[in-house]
Amino acid sequence: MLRKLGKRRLGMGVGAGEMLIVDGVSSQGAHVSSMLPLRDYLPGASSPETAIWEPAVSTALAQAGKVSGNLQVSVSDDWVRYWMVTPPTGLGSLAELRALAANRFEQLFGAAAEAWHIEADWSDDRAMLACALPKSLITALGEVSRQNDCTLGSIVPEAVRLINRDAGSLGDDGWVCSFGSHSFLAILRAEGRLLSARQFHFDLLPTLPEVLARLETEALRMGLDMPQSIFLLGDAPPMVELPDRPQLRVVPVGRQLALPKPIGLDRKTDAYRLALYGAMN
Amino acid sequence: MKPLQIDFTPRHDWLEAGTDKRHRSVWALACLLALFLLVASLTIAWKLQSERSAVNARIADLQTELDVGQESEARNDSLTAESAQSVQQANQFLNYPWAKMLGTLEHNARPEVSLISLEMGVQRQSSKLVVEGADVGAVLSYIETLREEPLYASLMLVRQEKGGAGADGGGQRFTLEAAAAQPEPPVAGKSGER
Repeated sequence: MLRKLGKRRLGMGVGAGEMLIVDGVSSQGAHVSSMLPLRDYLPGASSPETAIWEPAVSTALAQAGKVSGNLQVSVSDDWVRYWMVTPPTGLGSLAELRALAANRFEQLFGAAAEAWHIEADWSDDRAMLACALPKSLITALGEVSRQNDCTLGSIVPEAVRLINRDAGSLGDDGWVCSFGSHSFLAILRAEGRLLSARQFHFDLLPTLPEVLARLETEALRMGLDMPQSIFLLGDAPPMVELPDRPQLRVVPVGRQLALPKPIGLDRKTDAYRLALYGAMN
Repeated sequence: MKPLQIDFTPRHDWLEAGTDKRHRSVWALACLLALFLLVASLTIAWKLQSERSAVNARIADLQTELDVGQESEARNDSLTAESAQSVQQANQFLNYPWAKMLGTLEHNARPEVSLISLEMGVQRQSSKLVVEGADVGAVLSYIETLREEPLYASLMLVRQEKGGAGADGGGQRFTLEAAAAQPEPPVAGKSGER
């Protein structure tokens, strides 16, 4: 613990197309010590299951030089799978919950769960949000950070990072939508209990009415009433007037947090934003 | 909204084995705690036993000292009782009502009965009387008269023999054992009786 506290905080962003390390944030900006385009360093990147992450992670840390610190990794939702797990009564162990989550994963995504590392907000008495990351990414991050003088502080998906960052501003009822670069995660909660979790993918960022239409469809599919509150996180679509939905309350959360200027990078990329989530959190 | 407890860091792999592993950890901790309690109990019991032995030894020593003290005290008590008995006997001897007894004998003297001897008993609580008379009836009457005197608690005829008194020499000699009556102790609280 003392060793961990004594190290500085490094933010690593694993974006959809690049990997980036932020080595310190000051008033002048955030110092980017490494930026790696994944298309050149990620063999098998066409599918998360087949991607080999060790070369990319190793190169990114090598580019950063002799950095040592507490590495906070934020992974783009492009590499993450989200779903909801409702445990039946009678489950007695976390192993059973894991098996249940893996089984549900295979049903929903049609892929073997062996190549994925599954985590969830584990509970045996309520529905929970589950998510999966490629197992090779977790393994590579662990091994490479061990080989370097880095402590692996956390590996958290983008939407989870955003939700936890602004958890105090989110109500217990309504939709919570976390927007990434190519998808948004929508979770529906009522009185603090999870009712639905769905990841919507897109090529172009949908408008707010399009988002509402998808949410209404999802609520209808689940047989639930459309709630009157929607909380928007991340790079959400811009606010527009909704004259046909006067009761609906759309709340953008966390938008006031302006990202610092990157030092050593000419633009604020997706991976830069992710790296800052870890470096500044 | 509560933050989501989701983190893929490998350090969380201890959860992989699930509740069973945690149960094993809990059981291991419980066993360690039980072992510690057992060792602590045995240590405390051993220490208490040692203290108990020491206390018992101390009690035995004190008991021995107490026995010796009681024996010595009893010896002192017996010596005191012997002394008190001697003092009491001397006191009784000195307090024997000689004057009253002699007065009683003189008061009841009869010409037909002769007082031959009067001597103190071995216990110094009785006296021996030897009287003689020619007329047996007179002597017996004399004895009865003495028995009625409050001075004597008892007057027992211990021997009767033929004596030399009388004109015909046919007198009878009687030896009597007389026990003097104890003086009445003062009645405590007599004036307070209702």
